Amino acid sequence: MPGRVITITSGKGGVGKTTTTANLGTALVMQGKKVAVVDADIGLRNLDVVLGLENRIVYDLVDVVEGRARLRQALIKDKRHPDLALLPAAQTRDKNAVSPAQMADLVGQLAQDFDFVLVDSPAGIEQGFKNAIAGADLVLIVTTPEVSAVRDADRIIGLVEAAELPTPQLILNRIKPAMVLRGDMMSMDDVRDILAIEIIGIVPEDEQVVISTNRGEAVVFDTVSKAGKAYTNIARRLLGEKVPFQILDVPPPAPKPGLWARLFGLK
Amino acid sequence: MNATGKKFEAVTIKGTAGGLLCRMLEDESLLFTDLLNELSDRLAAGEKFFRKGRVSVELGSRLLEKSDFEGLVEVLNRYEITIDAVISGVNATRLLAKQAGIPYNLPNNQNTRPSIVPDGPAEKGPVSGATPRGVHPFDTAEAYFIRRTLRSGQVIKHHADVIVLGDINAGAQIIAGGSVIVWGTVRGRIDAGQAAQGEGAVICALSLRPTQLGIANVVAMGNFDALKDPDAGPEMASLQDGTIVLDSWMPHRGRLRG
Repeated sequence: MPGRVITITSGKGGVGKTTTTANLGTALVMQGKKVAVVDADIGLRNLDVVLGLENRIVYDLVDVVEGRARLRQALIKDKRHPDLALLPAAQTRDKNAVSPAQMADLVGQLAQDFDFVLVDSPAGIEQGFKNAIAGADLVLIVTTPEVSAVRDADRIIGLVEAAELPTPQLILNRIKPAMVLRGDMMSMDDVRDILAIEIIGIVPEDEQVVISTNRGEAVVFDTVSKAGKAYTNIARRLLGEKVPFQILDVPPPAPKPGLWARLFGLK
Repeated sequence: MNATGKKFEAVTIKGTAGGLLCRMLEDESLLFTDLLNELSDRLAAGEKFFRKGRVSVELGSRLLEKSDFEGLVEVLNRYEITIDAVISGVNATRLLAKQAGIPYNLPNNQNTRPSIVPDGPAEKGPVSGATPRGVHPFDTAEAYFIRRTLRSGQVIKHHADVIVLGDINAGAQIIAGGSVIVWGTVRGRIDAGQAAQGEGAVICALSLRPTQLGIANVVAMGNFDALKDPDAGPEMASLQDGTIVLDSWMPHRGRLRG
């Protein structure tokens, strides 16, 4: 049975598509699955950087499509996790170098050898997006709790439905529980009200993500990180497990005033 | 628009289940250029409704010169209107359509709408995906029933009433000739009553928090403070003395909000 092809997209840029792809891929590998991650952001590739595999690129997606390399030659196996493979994007070409039909064919081939094929979509609604959703079994939409990102997510949902793909599911990224509590940020319920699709995960804002990304490691390895835990939960939900949403505690205001300061009403 | 009442009759534009149908009277005593002027006036009057729309043009047994036909296409192009079909009983006229790459058809005496509405180009983009032509629950009913949420970027245009089972999200728009009833939340834009005598049209929704509402030629901006009241309940917007007024759907229990 061929594996599942899942496209991660958003409409708006900078909401965390690539980080999500890298971490979800790694999390699925940690759950014992064989995973291929595909960077469909031709011309602006960075999934390789986030995964720390930049220096190992020889061939890329466009080389495969245009017949200069076989799929197996272009796939980069992560030495740290042998079950994770990356198909990098070309950096010197643009989105029009590939057609949706070629893309669907490519991910179809990958699905023969892997349990999951995760496609990292570029931002926008043009050719790159159309390529990225070609051949997808499921589309995951990443959004942050901002009006602009949610609006773009809404547009993307409409386009995915128009492409006659199943109703996409949502990942709510970079949520700040303290701000939600104060009413300064949209909550999960607010977003669900507007978009009316199933939410498969909420990922809290977490500095650890920046640290891991800069090191080219996945944050899912960090057992303390709440974001890492959130990605692991999404991976488990994709595998059919029922995992409750993390309760996102409000971090205590730091630093706490000492006893004497409190007694004397000083700061 | 200087058309006299009598001449105004020479061009009729009406909605059918198959889409808009424009009928050009075949009376040879009328010059085709006059008909074109009239058509142009009609389109100008209802520009908001017609622009970027689709229409079938029925020409009866009128014999068209090539220049006449080009004039017709030019007028419709001016409003970015796509011609669904040219319906003519004259071979030469159909041939003109064929040469121009426009679908054509024979008149159908039983039915005013084209018997075959050809599909548009395969790659039509999201907007056309949002308005599946020919998907109409009741062939004879004028109202358009939409059973899904309209999302940002999706536009529905219909010549009569529109009923939506779902939400109208911000960035989505409905342009209707008649009234619009939404069983859901309105966050986007609705223009009702865009047909002639549309002042009586109403907009109803379980929750009305639009960015803009329009009835006939009046447009109101969403007043965000008033519209954010989550307990407002179902409401109806109508035109009263030239202003759009929102009323609670349950007048005895609710209050009046202007």
